[in-house]
Amino acid sequence: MSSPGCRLRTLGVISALGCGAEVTWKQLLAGESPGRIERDDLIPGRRALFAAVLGPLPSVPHALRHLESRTGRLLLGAFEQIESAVSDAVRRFGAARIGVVLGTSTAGIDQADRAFSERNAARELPSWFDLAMLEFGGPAELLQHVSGAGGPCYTISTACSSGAKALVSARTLLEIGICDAVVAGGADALCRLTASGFHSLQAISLRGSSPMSRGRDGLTLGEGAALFLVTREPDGVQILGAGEAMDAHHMSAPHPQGVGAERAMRAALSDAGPGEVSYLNLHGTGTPQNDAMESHAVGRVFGLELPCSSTKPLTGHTLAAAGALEAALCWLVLERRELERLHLPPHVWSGDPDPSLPALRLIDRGASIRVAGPARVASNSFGFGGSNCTLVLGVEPT
Amino acid sequence: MIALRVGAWSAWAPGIEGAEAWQRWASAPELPRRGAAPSLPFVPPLLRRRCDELARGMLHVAEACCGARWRSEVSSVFGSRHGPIATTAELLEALAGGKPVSPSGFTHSVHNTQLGLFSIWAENTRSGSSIAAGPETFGNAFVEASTLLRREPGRPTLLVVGEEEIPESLAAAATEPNGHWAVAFLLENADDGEALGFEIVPRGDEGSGEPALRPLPDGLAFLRWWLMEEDRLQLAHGRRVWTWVRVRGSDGFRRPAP
Repeated sequence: MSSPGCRLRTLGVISALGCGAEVTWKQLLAGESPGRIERDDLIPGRRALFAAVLGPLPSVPHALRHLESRTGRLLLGAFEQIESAVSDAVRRFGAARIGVVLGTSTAGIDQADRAFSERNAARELPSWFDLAMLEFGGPAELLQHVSGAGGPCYTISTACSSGAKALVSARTLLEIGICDAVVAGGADALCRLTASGFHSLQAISLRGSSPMSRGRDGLTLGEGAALFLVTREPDGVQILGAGEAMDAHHMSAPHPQGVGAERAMRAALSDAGPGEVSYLNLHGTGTPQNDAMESHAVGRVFGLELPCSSTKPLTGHTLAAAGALEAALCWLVLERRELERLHLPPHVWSGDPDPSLPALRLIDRGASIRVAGPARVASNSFGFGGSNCTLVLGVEPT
Repeated sequence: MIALRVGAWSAWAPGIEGAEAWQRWASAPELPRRGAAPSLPFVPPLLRRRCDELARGMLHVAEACCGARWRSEVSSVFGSRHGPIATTAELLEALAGGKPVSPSGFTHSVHNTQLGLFSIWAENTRSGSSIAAGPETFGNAFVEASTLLRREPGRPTLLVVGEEEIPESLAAAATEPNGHWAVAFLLENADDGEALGFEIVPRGDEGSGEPALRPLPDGLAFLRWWLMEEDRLQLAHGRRVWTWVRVRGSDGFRRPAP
């Protein structure tokens, strides 16, 4: 046992892999994603592969119907899994000491899309539509209501780095003493506006993403939510390091040499202090630009021997949820350690590497590594607007 | 209680420019409505063309608050309840009308658009956050700024909060006007002198006595309080009271406990 640190206490997770930690872990290691399906309702006139959450979701309580959205329902699907731990924290610390920090980029844009379509027929916005549905702060407010949290409550929306940054803010809220526990993570839903938007940027692969492959042609969009209860505890998986940096380069394209990505990774390693990282979860979207800059930056920081994978071919790119969802997968790698063995998520791709990129050590199904003593893994998240965030998670042997 | 120091401030709204005009506004404050946005002469034309009304207000106050000394050095928090909502409404119109979504419009509809534009203009590569929290956006942005002062020690944090008007196509679904304004504060860790104390005070009588419609959004209520040099500001929302106090060091006001 070490001194109390910021621990990721309990996980609620839902994605194309399934609902709950158990199913998520099993499907992840098998490299199989039941939610990968072709849909023609998200990009007008196009059929493409998406990574959707299958099956029913909890409904938004009637009293909170002004916050209705698919993002909100995904969030509730994750929250149900940690509800009792959050209730315990509310009892233990008092509501005012519990914060909510959430990453989202879609909020209720699906509801606004539906409202505009109905308006075109009826000439006025439908009465069920409330502008609160479109607010980025809405999903955090929903979570605050269902959790009983009474401390700070906000959405971080820095595109695809949001979920990781929400966890960093949660850690700092504990450090500076504003909160004793924080419900933190991310949620985003598949919707027409983001699918059409990424398609307009020629960023979507219609056949499915294949990160680091020769001829890769874009990302697969996904949806999901991952939530942690973050508290100060003497043991458990810890956020050991966090690094953030902006590219200051371009609104929708990463810096071609990945200088912001490199700075975020180096800052996270420096924040974590001495110790070896055993696995890196790549941002790995499968777009030509991301994978090129990320592989160069990873090569410069970690070299080419570090086991790496992108889990986005399985979960899809869940945008503002991605940083939290991939932290969740890293959390599972550490939590499900078997003695000195860490099982690693596979990189599911064409198997035909892009010869122009540094040859990262991309791992296959069934891979595991031996780690004696403390273990640490890292996760990259890079977003629109040049927002970069790297997390280092670690755990001491039990 | 958190103790910070305000190193500089700036504000912009249509027709209210400069410290004296804001002092006059503070003694009879009203929500500023839509007007001509700042022209941003300091931003290169190519980048300026990408700035919507919200970005024009936010970059204007960011530049005025940071000056050349700090603009590339600060960590930053950009807060907005509705963000670039006019651009989002245009995308929704296109989608509902069966027209293609504009790639540039989509890129500039993300909530961190204004933060991204700021970082590109200022060549700022530090930590930056973009946040939203409904009517409590200002207080929560202040909290996030406090966390950045911890994460990026030894440099100030720029806090920018602003709004643009709700576009016509969405106005019917809005419960209150958004106004058109931006405020910026350069926050530093407090030393021994004058400080700004901040805390969130819980309250039991949830929501009672709150005005149904607030006269000013919290960002402008804070600015008014700051300019009027009153001792304490309390903004009640639901089960929380966002509380700021002036701590004047030696002249009789107690410093908050660490």
